[in-house]
Amino acid sequence: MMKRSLSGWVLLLAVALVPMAVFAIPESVRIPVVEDHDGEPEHPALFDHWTHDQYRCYACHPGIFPQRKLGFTHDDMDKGLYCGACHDGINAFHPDDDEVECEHCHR
Amino acid sequence: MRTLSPLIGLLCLLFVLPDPAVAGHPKGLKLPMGMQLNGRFDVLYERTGYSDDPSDGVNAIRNDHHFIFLSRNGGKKDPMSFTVELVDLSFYEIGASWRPTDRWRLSARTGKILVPFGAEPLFHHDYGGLSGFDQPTLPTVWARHGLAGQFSVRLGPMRISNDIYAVHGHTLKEADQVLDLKTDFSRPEDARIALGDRLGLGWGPLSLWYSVYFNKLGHDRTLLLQALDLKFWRYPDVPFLEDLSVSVGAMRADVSGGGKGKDYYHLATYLTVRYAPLDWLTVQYRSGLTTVNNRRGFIVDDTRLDEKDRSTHNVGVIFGWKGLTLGLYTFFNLEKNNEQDNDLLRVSLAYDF
Repeated sequence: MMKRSLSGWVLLLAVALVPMAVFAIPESVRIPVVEDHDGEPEHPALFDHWTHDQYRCYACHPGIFPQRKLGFTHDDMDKGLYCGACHDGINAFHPDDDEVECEHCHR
Repeated sequence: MRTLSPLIGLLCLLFVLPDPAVAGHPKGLKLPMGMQLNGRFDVLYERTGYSDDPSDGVNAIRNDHHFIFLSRNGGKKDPMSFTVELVDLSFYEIGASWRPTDRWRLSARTGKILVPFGAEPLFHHDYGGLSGFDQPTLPTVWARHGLAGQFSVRLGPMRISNDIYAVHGHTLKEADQVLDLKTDFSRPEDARIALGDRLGLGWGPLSLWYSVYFNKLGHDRTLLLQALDLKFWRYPDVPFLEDLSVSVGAMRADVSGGGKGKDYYHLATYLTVRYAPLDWLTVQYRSGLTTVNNRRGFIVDDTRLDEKDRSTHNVGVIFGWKGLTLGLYTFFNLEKNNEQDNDLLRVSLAYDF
């Protein structure tokens, strides 16, 4: 009886872990690439929720980021939209700052 | 039918409004010195006080959310930040964060902090199948005075985080009292300190949290509160899954000590399924089980059943446009004993900015 129960748990764990392996992409949100440009980034930009959790959800949702899939450009950010609402070179680094490497976001 | 007419009118209005993707959402109010104001207000119409048949019920008008949030970000050279809920002071947090490397992040916060127990966002625990202001087991906004530290680290495709904290905890006034986690907090002048930890694992669209909270309650009794929460969130670029989120979890509160046979526990579980095929439309189903004051070894202790032991099923349809949200909900609450007239129809209109 004990063995059967144990194998049931192992099966349950496998069922839980297999999809996790299949879905093995970063926890965070990939920002879709929306325009063709020279030097296409190797990866779409990656946003980590857990590294921004000093802000509670209301600081960004739904105002800056509606809770839907969307893509945007560096030009949009230059206008203070999306990431540019905070990443303006004063409150946080600007995405186009010389010292910021592309891989900081496009990783 | 006459009661439903205004609802049908509102629904028709939502269908002719401009595409919210074009209309955009209000962005909060930017203030000087890196400060920002955001808010949420709502009004609810409810048909309540019935079992099964809404025509047996009574009307209720309520307000749940009346929040204005003030946040300050210190800027890229200042690690300090704070956020406060201004109307009720339901929480206020002063924090600091550091990034020793690109992979690591450390942070600390103090004040009347949101207790990092359960899944994010912490405003809405789903235990028992009821969320937010309906939450039957934990405080609606569980914020207590205390101190918390967090680290998070990125390891390849995974992110791991850990919160450790000490906060103003619970107490038992009487040795034989059944603990109510929503209300039985110790007095400030006789404070009991609770210690807790939350481990988080994020991998793609999956997030997993294990939470534990330990509190000496007095009368030689202790509380050990644990929870496990798993969330799947909108797997990108796969039809249907990219619009789907599913959360499951369980919370167990064990009260021990005080003599042989006096141990008991509360249990609350939930399943939440949300499908958002359009930016302005979300359909959700939530259910859960709550049992309180169970002897050890019994999942549902049928010798102690009362109206607090219950399951619930609720369905909602939520429409959004700009900062406005219209929600239509129905709740079926099934008590294990002493069935209550507490089924519910709800129409909520909320505004976020």
